[in-house]
Amino acid sequence: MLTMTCTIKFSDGKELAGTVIADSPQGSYPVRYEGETDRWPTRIDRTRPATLQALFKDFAALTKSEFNLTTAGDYEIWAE
Amino acid sequence: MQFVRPTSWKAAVDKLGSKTPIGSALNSSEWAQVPIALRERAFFSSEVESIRFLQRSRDAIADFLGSAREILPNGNIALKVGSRAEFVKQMSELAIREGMGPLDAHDAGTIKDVTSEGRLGLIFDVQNQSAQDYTFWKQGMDPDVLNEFPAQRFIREREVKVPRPYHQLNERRVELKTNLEFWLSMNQDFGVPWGPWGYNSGMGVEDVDRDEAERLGLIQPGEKIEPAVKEFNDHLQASTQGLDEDMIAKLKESFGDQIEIDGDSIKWKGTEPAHEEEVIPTPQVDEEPEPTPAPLPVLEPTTTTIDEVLTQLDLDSDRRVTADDMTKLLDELKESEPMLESQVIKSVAGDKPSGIFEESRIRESVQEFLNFIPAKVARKLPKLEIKVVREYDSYGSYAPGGRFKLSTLLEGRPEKAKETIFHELMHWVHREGPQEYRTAIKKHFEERTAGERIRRLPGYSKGTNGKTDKWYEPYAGRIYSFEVTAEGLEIPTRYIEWLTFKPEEMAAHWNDPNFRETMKIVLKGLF
Repeated sequence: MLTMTCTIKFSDGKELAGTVIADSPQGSYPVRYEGETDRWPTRIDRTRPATLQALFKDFAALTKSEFNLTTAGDYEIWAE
Repeated sequence: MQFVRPTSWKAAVDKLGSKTPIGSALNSSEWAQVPIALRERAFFSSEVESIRFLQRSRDAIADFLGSAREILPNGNIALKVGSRAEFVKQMSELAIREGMGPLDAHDAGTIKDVTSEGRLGLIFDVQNQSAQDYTFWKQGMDPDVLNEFPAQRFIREREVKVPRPYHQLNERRVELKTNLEFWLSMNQDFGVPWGPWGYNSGMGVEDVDRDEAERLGLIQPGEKIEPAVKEFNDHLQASTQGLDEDMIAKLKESFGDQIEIDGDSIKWKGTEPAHEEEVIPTPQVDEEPEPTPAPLPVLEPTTTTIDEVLTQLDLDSDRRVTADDMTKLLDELKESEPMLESQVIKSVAGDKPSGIFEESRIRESVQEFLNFIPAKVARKLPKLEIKVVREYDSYGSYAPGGRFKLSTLLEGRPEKAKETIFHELMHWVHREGPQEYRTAIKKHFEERTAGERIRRLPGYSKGTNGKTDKWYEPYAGRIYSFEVTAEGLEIPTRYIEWLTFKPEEMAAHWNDPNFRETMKIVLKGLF
């Protein structure tokens, strides 16, 4: 399983994090949000790791915030 | 430093061309007893005695190899659509003219019938794969490549009905490329340390880099290993030396005046003695340039281009886009008169298609994909043969000629199934479609990854190597072990999955300039 956590650190020092655990790059998986969830503009509650990263990066660019990424583990299966 | 030096396909063509057509009534098990040095230099087929037929077959395959080949995900050489069929048609006609039908009428149309599609297709596939795998092996023996990728993993590329037990036992085993004893033991049908690893074996190899080989204890840090070319040539030489009288008598009886035997010097008539010559040419640093592939179909002029669409929707700038912008783009990308799935699907078969894999569901997803593909492009692609299989190591895979597999693991997972179908169908468009598209993807891959080292892709298992660049998903940078030069084979496939995302998700990706740059190139395949 691959676990990806994206974090945004806003200019006021507060943070928003989103985590997905996925067995594959294909498909969507529940997102667990933590921190400043009220500031998060989307209602996406399921997505794939690559898209979670894109959403967080996009929002970080929009809000001129700091983006951080951590991943652990590997996918188990995918489309070749 | 260039880690992977492309090996000229001329080597494969030359190797095939150097084989002497040998007609004989020997069957395959009797051929297996002929010394490997002779077998390696003969172009033969079980129980085929017509030299004329064999010579025409050899020349036809060499011509195809030299002019119209492409590389496939499963390691075979993919010839341009129609080439294999053309070979089968031509050789079948010749075989019939030569009166080469089966002796037993019950064998008509079976693998024993040299006029049949099955038998001719087998000849074509084995000879082509042998030429490709030999070229790959030769490249792997280049000292620089060997230093960087000293080992290889023995892998199952496709399921077969009756796997060989010694293959099953060694699936995913990693050994140094120079471990001839092991690799020869894996190829008991052909007796060479490269593939094919037997008739219909389903096996292949993939490169293992130095880091992994060191971790496995196969090589020490800083240790350099010598190519095994000379060792293999010595092995070939030994196969013709010291033959007993019975074997020599049998060779004379089987091959008549096609063979010359003078003491330990045994050769096909009109050729140099096999044991006095390096059967495997030493890799050259400066080889002749690759033959230019025959042109594939070129996109016809279109009335609208992707650039025009993006300009029209104000998407060709750094403006932040929204979900609405993506919805409009999706509408614009859809063809007004796409091909129908019934026009491109030859068959849907396999393990009890049901649920999400009901044939109708699969056809729906194919149609959704076709809605983005110009009919004039789809029309020229090979018909699709879709098979649902109980395969647990991937959701889907594509093989040449429009054949792709879907895993039953996708059952009940419609989102994954759709992404997978889009992914595999994009292989179909990219690999079988216009050459100019393929060239554009390759150029983009080379430009974006110049200077980057090949490494294991993050998030993927060992052996899944490539260049991560700034692809939105690392797999887009995958480089397969069979690629002579990296083509970016997974760029179109990974990026086209984006069309299945929610508009809001699509927008987040599009707002990334790196993603946008690649996606624009991928979308050109839809125009």
